[in-house]
Amino acid sequence: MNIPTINTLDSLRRHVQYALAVEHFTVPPYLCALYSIPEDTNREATSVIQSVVMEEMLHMVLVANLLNAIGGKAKLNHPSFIPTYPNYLPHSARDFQVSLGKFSRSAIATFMRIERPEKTDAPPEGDYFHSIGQFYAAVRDGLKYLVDQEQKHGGERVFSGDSALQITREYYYGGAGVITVIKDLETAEHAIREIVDQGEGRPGEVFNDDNDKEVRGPGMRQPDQLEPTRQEPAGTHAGGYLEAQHHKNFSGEEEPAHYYRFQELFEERYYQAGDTPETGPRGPELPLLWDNVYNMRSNSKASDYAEGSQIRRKLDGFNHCYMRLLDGLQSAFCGKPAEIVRAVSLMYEVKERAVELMRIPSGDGDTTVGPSFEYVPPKRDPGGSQALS
Amino acid sequence: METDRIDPLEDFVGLSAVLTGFETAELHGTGLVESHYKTILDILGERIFGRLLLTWRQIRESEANDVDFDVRKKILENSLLGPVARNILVLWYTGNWNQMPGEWRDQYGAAAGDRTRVVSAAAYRQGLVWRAVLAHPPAAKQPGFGSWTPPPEGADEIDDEWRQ
Repeated sequence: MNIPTINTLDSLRRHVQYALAVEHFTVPPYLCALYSIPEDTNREATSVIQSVVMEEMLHMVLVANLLNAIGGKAKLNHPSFIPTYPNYLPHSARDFQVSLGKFSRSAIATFMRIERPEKTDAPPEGDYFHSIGQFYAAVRDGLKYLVDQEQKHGGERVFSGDSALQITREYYYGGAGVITVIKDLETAEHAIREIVDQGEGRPGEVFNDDNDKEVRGPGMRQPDQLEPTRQEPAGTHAGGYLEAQHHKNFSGEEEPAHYYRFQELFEERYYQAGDTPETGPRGPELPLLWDNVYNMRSNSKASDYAEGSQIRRKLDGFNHCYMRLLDGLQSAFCGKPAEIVRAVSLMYEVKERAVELMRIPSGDGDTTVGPSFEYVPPKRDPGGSQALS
Repeated sequence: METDRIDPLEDFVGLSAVLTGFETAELHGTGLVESHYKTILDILGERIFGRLLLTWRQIRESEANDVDFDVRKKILENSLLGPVARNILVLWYTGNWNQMPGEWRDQYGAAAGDRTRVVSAAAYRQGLVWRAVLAHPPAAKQPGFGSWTPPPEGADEIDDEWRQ
């Protein structure tokens, strides 16, 4: 076995923490695009972005489970974890920047770059990666190598984490896909496969699943069903919803990987059965109203507005709420898995506040403020990890 | 924003802020500024609504020391404008338009659109009453499972204000 770039347990834990940062990095830009679309317009775009962002959140949980399984400790509510935008994907080859901005064709083009599939012969890249798939390939190779070392050469135990730290499905309601409890190489590889398949898809394939390819078109996706609490009464948790195969969306319908879903929006056309990455989407038209969005100012910062001003206070309030959400996830990933339920209610709060900011004029006569997703130090709790308890 | 430009929407937001006690950014954040403006204009017509906004603009431009006092004096105590202003306040808080009082209708005209109703689903959902009591409009904004266990968002800030 060749020695891969990630070849110590410390390095593996560090890289899995990077993975957490990469997954999280995508969430604020996707949410800005999503929340810039006013209710009841561009429903198809709303449903695509919402389904993608929910899967990114699932990926965060899977990565946190992986990190806990290998004895690492997630760190989220920390300035180094929270990006300033515009920025490069963390630990990537830095070949393009990502901004916080409204739904637009250029935003979708950037999202496609984030999720772009690696070439079939692309090497694993643990650092300065060119695609997220290559990065995860490096993590997977590192895992395999270290497990091999452990089994054959009495190396350090890889899956030494406390199983009580795993987020299990009873804690995870209303999200996308299936939670994998990670305890060994097999479950770890399964989780990584799920992350990569949902994001970039498998090489050469548009759809995630091989079965029952159908022509998709307007009306087949039902945005309403993407709202978790409408579909599933709160508190009943998993149920049939989470039993769904992860390659299918919540309606059990075939769904292309993120890259191809964004491509459908970009091209304003659906993929249909028989289409390949080379043909591009050739299904029914998917018309979008690109101008029918809140004209959010790109990469808003609280410091753009005078301290104490109305807008500044709104932005500060938003950022505090966002930090409390990260605090909640921090607790959930570090020993209090039930906190994730509380974090979900903060996600709704973040949404309401973000949409408000989308509507508030920024004062330049043209744009609105928009959310800034910035780190702010905790107000009352210097520890920063128990704001929810 | 240029100060000399006449912007009836901004006048409406400014007056609404004084009437409701919520800041203009907050009112913009509801997404209801334009639809409320249009609802009121449709019901009352340009003559009455315009008179209200003009009166407000005069108060604002007079740079009076006590805007609240002037609004009380020149708007709320005025027999034409007072009931209108109160209705606008109720509209912001509850999303309801209440039919103008009978006496007022007798004196200033009974418009066909002047019927008691919830003006829109959004107006109910974004009603200021929910913000004022730090609650969610029942069945309209999802607060998430278990959200009833912690104190409402912002409750700690109110405590701080009380302590001061």
